[in-house]
Amino acid sequence: MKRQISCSEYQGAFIEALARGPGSELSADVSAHLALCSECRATSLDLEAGWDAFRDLQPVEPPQALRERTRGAVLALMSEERASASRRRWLDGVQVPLAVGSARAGEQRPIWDLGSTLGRLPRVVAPTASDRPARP
Amino acid sequence: MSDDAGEVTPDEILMAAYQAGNEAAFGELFGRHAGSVYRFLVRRLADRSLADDLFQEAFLRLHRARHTYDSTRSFRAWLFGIVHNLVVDAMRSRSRLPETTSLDDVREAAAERQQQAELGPDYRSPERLVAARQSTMALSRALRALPSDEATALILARLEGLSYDDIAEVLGRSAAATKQLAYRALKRVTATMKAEGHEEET
Repeated sequence: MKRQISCSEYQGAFIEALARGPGSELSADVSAHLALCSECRATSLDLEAGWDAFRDLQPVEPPQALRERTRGAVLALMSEERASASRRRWLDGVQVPLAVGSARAGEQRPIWDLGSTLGRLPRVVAPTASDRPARP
Repeated sequence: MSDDAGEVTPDEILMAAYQAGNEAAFGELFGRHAGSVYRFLVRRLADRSLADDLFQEAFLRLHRARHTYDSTRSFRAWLFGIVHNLVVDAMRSRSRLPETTSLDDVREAAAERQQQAELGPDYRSPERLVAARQSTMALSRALRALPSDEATALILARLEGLSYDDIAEVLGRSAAATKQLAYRALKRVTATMKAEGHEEET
């Protein structure tokens, strides 16, 4: 025997059929429910009219100035983010060599502690008077 | 935006490009969906100036949330999820919506008069025009009076053509529950209009 659908199942199928557009067919069990349930039958006619009433709503579009302002606001954010990412990449590029230099010194020191690292580098010393060749 | 074969690039692909920082992809998505976001806001809020404010905020929220988008999901469902939450937040912050004639009702009346003037006197009989106008205002009032999720379900299904699966995703409910919401919403709207004497001719 064929299962009969409930009013609640009918309602779900009916609202889906309305969204599919006029003339969309109801399945056999939905049609069978409609034939048997006078309440759903009466309501469905009203609801079809209610669905059609939306046709009279005036079309609305965002004003051009609002469109431009909104698009511009997002694009400005994107551009800001790109600039900030580029600054971060530059800083990363600077920090890595410094960090490597620090690691070579064999110490766990913050990368900004450059003074002691630089202190271990060979000093460039200005020639003293004794280094200079004697004047003729 | 379309590829060399002239096929339209799906929203989900554009979204991936936008996530990677492509401005043209954002521009294309904006062009495609700005109208439907605005229509939804206007119908849902029945307040054009609030709709204007939230329109910009919707796209700023979308931008901030873009990295949370999962390209296996429907883009429209994700987008309207953001817009629906924005509306819920905005309505919470208002004690209640105006129940008198809104500024939008006045604007719609003006637009209807302009349309009649442009199309000439035979466009519609004055009686029919007045009836349509009153019916539209009654519909706007009925939509305004709906519970939040019901209004979103009905507007997205009826005016934006979203599938019930997508609307279910917007509302975080099952598809069956979403259809029930839309059904109840339509029933309330129809009853309100009928009570006011605005029955659509069928």
